[in-house]
This record gives sequence, C-alpha cells and structure tokens, in this order.
Amino acid sequence: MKMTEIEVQQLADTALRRPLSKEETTALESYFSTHPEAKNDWRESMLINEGLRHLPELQPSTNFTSLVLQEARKSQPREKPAATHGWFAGWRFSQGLAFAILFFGVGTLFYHQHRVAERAEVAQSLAAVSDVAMLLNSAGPGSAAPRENPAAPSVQMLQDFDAIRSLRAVPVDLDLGLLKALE
Amino acid sequence: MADQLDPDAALMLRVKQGDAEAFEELVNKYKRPVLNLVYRMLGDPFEAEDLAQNVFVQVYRSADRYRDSAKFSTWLYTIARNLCLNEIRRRKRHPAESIDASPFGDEEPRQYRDQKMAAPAENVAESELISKIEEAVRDLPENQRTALMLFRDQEMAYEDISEVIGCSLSATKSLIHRARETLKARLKPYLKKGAWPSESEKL
Repeated sequence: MKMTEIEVQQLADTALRRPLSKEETTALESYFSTHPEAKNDWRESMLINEGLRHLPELQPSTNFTSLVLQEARKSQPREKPAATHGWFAGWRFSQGLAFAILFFGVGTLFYHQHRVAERAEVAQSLAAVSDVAMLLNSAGPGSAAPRENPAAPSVQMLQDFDAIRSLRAVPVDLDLGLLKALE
Repeated sequence: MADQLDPDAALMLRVKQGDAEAFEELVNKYKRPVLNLVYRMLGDPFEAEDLAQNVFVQVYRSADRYRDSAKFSTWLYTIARNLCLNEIRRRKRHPAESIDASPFGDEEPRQYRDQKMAAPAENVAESELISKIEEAVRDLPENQRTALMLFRDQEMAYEDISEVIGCSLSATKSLIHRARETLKARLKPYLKKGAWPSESEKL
C-alpha cells in the first residue's frame, strides 16, 4: 500500500494514542524505502509524541464535585414545570394581544376622526365655491359684460380655493339690485 | 436515534429535568479531563481548578440549551474552551490583577510541586525535559494547543475537535500537524540529543 505524506502525518497522530499495528508499520517502512529523507522527520515526531505522553496530569481536588454541586444548587435550571410554564405563557400572550388590540383601536379612532375633520374641511370649501357659483349663475348665461360689482370675485380667483374661502359673503341687497337690473 | 443515544447525552437530558444525581455522575466522569484541558490552556494549576469547576456550573446553568443531537463531550469542551478564552482575554486586558497567574508566554516556566500532581520524574534531566515540553506546549498558538491537547488527552475524533474549535476537518488535522512541527522546531536541541527513553527509537 503506497502511502502519501498526509497519511504519514495521520499515522504520527495515531501513534500519539496507541502503538501502530503491524500493517501500519509495514506500510510506513515501505514509504521510508522510497522516501528515506522522511525517516528522520518521523523519528523526531515520535520523540515529540513521547514527550507529550510524559506531560504531568493534574488530579482534581477531593472536594471538586461537592464545590460544583454547591455552586450549581444556587442557580436553578431555567426549565420550569410544564403546567405553570404553559399557563404563564398563555397569560403573557393574552396580555400582549390585548395591548395590540387596544393600540390598533386607538389608532383607528384617531384616523377616523382625522378623516371626518378632513371631510368637513372639504365640505366647507365646496360650500364656499357653490356660493360663488350661484352668484355667477344668477348673472345669466352667456353674459358678455363683466360684472361690475366689486364684491363679486373674478374668474381667476375661483382657481384659488383658499382665496375663495377668505371672501366675505356677498350682501343680499346687492343680489336683489342685480336681479332688478337684469329684468 | 433514541436507542443509540450517547450515554452522556442521556445523563444530560436527565440533568435538564433537574436530576442532580445525573449531574454528579457527569462531573465525576469529566472533572479530570476538563481540569487538564483547562490547565494546558491557562498554564496555572490553581486557576485551572477554579475555572474547571466553573465549567460544570455553566453546564448546569445551560442545561436547557443542550440538544441531544450534539455529543455531550463536544458541548462540554466547547464551554471549557470558551471560558478559557474569556479568561485569557481578561488577563490581557488586566495583566496586573492576576498576581498568581503566569502571564501567557512567560519565558521562565513555573516550577511547582503539588500534591495534586502526579509524582515527579526521578531523573532530573528528564524532569527538565518535561518542563521544556510543557513550556513549549504553553507557548503554542491557542488553537494548535487546544487541538493537540484534545487529540492527546480526550481521544476525540477529528470531527469532534473541529466542532469544539470551530473550524473544518482539514483545518483541524492541519492544526495538530502544525503543533507537532512547532514543538519539533522549538525542541530541536533535545531531539538531536535523543534525550527521550530508547523505546521511542524503535523505528
């Protein structure tokens, strides 16, 4: 069996844990016969392994386990009994849902009020425009002469709704005077 | 899958249910390997004892997060490594606080005799060599050191080591190889002398 350099490295790892088998040793010797320069490297690896095996090991203190248990007892595991956990989780969910519904409801209410106010504003604008439109209609269709009543707005002003809204109401006696003139 | 459950994983699932006996069993089984891994990472036996205990406390507190799809030992050593890395970072930020700890990368190896340790080598030269190896291991880059120690001490598979370290399988193998090469370079004078016992020279 032809070995690769990587396989030789892995055998060096294996040799750290256990003696090599007969097959592994044979394969290795075959590798060294074709790669004699690798033999010294292998020797040094084995010396390192030997040194690592001689490293001293610590022994735990006699009260190691009891100290650990003592400290662990101070902190309870996070896992809670199933029943309480289920009930508590359900309550928390209901609470969250109630808050969500409340916020949604309040938000909807504010939005509705805003829409109502907006419609009222549009209605006011329309009312102002319709007042002026009625005035224009009462002057007669196709009337070429420009109205001389200074209180009546010009056509250009009708384009500006804000200006329309700021117009003062036209006095009624002016309406009557205009009607008489048209008769 | 349930009938092939790792025995340690089965114990850990009992710990999740609050079984203190199962937890004690796990502590007794893994206290020595965890202690030695932590010791190799931190370099101080007293700090290693404290932090190793903390590892198990953390295991207990995190019991609800354990999933039996993961091997218990992999999960345990991941916690151990993370706590060691936190401690190493803390030391770097506050080097003056730790008067007992040897700053990482000290040139002078710490000499100690501790009743908790295995009996020292009778041969003084051998003892000095072991001290040199320890120093060289301590000076390895953290990921090389962790990979090598997990491989040597815990007899973990490459795949499990790669999970603990958080790198690929090939990267893990490379780390172990590079660790050995780094040690070879560092200990060259001793290797030339062939200072180790003759049984290592079989090949």
